Amino acid sequence: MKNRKSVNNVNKKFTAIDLLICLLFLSAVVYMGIRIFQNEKLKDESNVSFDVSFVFSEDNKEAFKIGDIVLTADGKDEVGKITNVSYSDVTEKNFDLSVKEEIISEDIFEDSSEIIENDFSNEQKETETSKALVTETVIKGYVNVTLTVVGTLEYDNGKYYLNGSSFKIDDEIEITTKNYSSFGKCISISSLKENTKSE
Amino acid sequence: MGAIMSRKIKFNVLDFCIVLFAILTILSTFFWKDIRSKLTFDEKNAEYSFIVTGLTKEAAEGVSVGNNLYFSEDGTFAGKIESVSTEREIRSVSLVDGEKAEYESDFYILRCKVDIKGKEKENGFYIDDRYFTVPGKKFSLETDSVKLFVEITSINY
Repeated sequence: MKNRKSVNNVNKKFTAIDLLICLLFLSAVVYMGIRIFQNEKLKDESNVSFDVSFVFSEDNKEAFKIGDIVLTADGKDEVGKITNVSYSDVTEKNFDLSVKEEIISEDIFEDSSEIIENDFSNEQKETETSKALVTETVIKGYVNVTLTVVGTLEYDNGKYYLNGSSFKIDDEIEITTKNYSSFGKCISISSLKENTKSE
Repeated sequence: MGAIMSRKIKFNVLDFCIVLFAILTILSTFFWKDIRSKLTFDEKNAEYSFIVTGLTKEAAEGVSVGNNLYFSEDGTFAGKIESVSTEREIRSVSLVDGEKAEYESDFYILRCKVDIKGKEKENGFYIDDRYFTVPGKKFSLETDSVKLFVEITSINY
């Protein structure tokens, strides 16, 4: 009888191991709770179309192609698809000094003919001179490549997120596909509102 | 008394099993991505090339064949340099007449080929499961003596 009583006592004793088990299960529950809570805090997702502009060398201009899947920078998740690629010349502005020389020589000629000009015509002439001085030249060997990407971005408080960072027009963003990755400048972004969803 | 002891020992083993199972379950929850990656994808050899521009002569000469590369971010091994080539950078300036003049600058271009082990996954090649490596990607790498901001130019695996 005494033995039986002691057996019962042993069974009812809450040991350190029992405590450890409780702690482990408790931590598992807390961990799962945190994960679920974090998921709930995830930002909304919005279907968007955005354009990104790059300057590539001529031999690299087809690094991105229509139909390429755009991935996050870590290559793990899909962001969207390239739906359009357009090319344009890369230009720079130069001062054309030969034009200035011509204008100066014209002025000398006109002065010698004693042509009197009023203030208005002088101002107009200066503007024309400035326009003539600045010329746009094409930079050979380089191409301006503009991509249109249609996909899903995280959206929160008026900000679109890609690779964990928010971006707006004029910001630099990294576009990554299976074949190539490069930083470009966002030149437009618009929401395809009818498809906006929340996770 | 003997029955009590044997019962007590049996109970402890069971406890141990439960604790072990609980620990393994929690660990697998934490590391399920790594475990999946290790089970699903085999490690394979790859060779990637990179280019670095705007290096000083000292930095360019500080990189040599056999150097180990590491990611500056976390010290992850990024491969062993198999070949190195350097050249002076050609730069251009716009002259007042709009023409361009090219000149050899004081800076150097460095091109290297690197051997590395990594994994080929659904979207491409990964170094250490973390660094998605495709042409155009820019990484901050370093040898024991030089820090380099590299651009991947090609990768074969």
